[in-house]
Amino acid sequence: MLKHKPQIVEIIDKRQESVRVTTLYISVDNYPTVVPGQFVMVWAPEAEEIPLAVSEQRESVIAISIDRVGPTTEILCSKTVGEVVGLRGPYGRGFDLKSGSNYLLVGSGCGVSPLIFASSRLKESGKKVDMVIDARSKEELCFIDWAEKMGISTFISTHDGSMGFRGYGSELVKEIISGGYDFVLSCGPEPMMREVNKTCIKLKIMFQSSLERYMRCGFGLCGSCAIDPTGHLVCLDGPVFDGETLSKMSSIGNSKRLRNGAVKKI
Amino acid sequence: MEQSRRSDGASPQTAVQLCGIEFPNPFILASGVLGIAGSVIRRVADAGAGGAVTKTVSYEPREGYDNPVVVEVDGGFLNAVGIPNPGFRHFRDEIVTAKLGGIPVIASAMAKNPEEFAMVAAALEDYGANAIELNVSCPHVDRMGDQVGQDSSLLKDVVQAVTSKVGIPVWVKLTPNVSSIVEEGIVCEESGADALVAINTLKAMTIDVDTFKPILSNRFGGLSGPAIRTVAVRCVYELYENVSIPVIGVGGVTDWRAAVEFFLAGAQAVQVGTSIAYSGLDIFNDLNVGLQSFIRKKGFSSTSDIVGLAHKR
Repeated sequence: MLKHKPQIVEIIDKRQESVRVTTLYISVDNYPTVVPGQFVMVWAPEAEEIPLAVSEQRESVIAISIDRVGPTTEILCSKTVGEVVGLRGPYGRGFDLKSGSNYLLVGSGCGVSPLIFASSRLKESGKKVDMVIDARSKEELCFIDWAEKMGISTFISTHDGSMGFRGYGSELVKEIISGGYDFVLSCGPEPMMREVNKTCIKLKIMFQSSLERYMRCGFGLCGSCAIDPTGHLVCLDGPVFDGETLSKMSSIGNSKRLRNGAVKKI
Repeated sequence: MEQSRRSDGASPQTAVQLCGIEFPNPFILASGVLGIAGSVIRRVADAGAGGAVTKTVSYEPREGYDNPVVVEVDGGFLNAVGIPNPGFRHFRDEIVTAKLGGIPVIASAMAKNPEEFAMVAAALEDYGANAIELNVSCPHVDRMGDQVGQDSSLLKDVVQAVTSKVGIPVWVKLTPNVSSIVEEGIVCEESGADALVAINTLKAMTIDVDTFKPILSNRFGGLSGPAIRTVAVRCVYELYENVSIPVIGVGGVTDWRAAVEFFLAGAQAVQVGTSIAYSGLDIFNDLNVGLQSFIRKKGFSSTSDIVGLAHKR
């Protein structure tokens, strides 16, 4: 079997998480153990191939949660049970789920999806886990029910105040961070992760964030997902990066590399 | 032996001089691999590469093709990335950053006519490139790439226009998708090229048997990796016999033995691209260590001692 060739696999279940986010459950055979934070390259044969974080894995099923933001994600979100997609991976470096004992997971929108996967593995290994779930408004909150089912305390923030704390997830983090956490994992908009990292650095709490960039190969060959100025590749060195490394990536929250390689200020 | 493990990859034995440029070792990063960002080229330099060719830069910005653009096949990869790049006017910073890596940076250029080629090349020289590599050989771009390489008259005009415009060396990357790569090479030499790079990818495709669809969104792409090595070695061998300018080999350099095949065939240096997918950036250190061992074991004293030895009868 060729690692970097899409394998055609079947969708066996589907779930709507929010107005924008859909989870597809996919049947896989002899699949490697995915580390939460890793991603797969998903090919919708009628459209494109995009990177998506794995949000769950059990036996012969993996789940991917898709934020409907463009033509390919639209097509993926409207696929039905029985239809197929192409899959290759898993790729990248996942989260460190060993070094801490009291984890706070901070996610926004669909960024919560790899964190949900991380929290289920953390709970299985007996770690303490709390979660901040953030979104622009209550319609865009997702995975609260997954967290509750796992018995995880969740703190909600919405930017428009329609539910929970009114403000950004990074602000809510500042209010609760003195709750004894020793490791924070984060996934969401770059300014949020940058702020949460600053909070953790100040309090000497371990921190990891999951980044995303436009990707092509997904395995460290084309360079499309390079972060300036460090030259880290999101697909190979990441998508998970620790706080110290994130601090050196001055482009985070400031500029990004576009599809054609040009650097654009955000 | 300690000297060979230095991460800067410099070794008096394996250093080569090509077109007046000093390369600390003969292993150069190939175009299209990692070289879209200067910051990544610096990492490649730190990993021990002797030089680096940038991503191909074109006259106009290009978005590239939709994914899938890369797929693994038996013995290599197909790619039809589509030469995404910000256009030559927006590439200065990448070259300036890349040069901080301390190794020669060769800028790859592509355009559709001699005038545009000359403008792109002149700008890249201005940004600080040590040499220009003309992409007249990509098999999957419309009206450019190998459609230039396959047209002798256009190829001649392009090479002449560029060499008369820039002062730095001009290399031409040849396509194997022609009936005679030797003819292609001779045209380039006669038009003033300073070196030939052989080979670019082979035009190819792969079809998914479950969905009946070609996997690459562009349907056709270029085959690279070990699967093309014997074709590349043959091309280098033939070119070495027929031109007197240096030949640089590329195509499936996965380890030091593959590299030595190219040197014996007549290459003065080799480029490494696809093999990074198999071995990561550690490959440069492995290549350097392996070549040094080989040179020593065979009783030679430098890379240039073994160039072309396969031609001796």
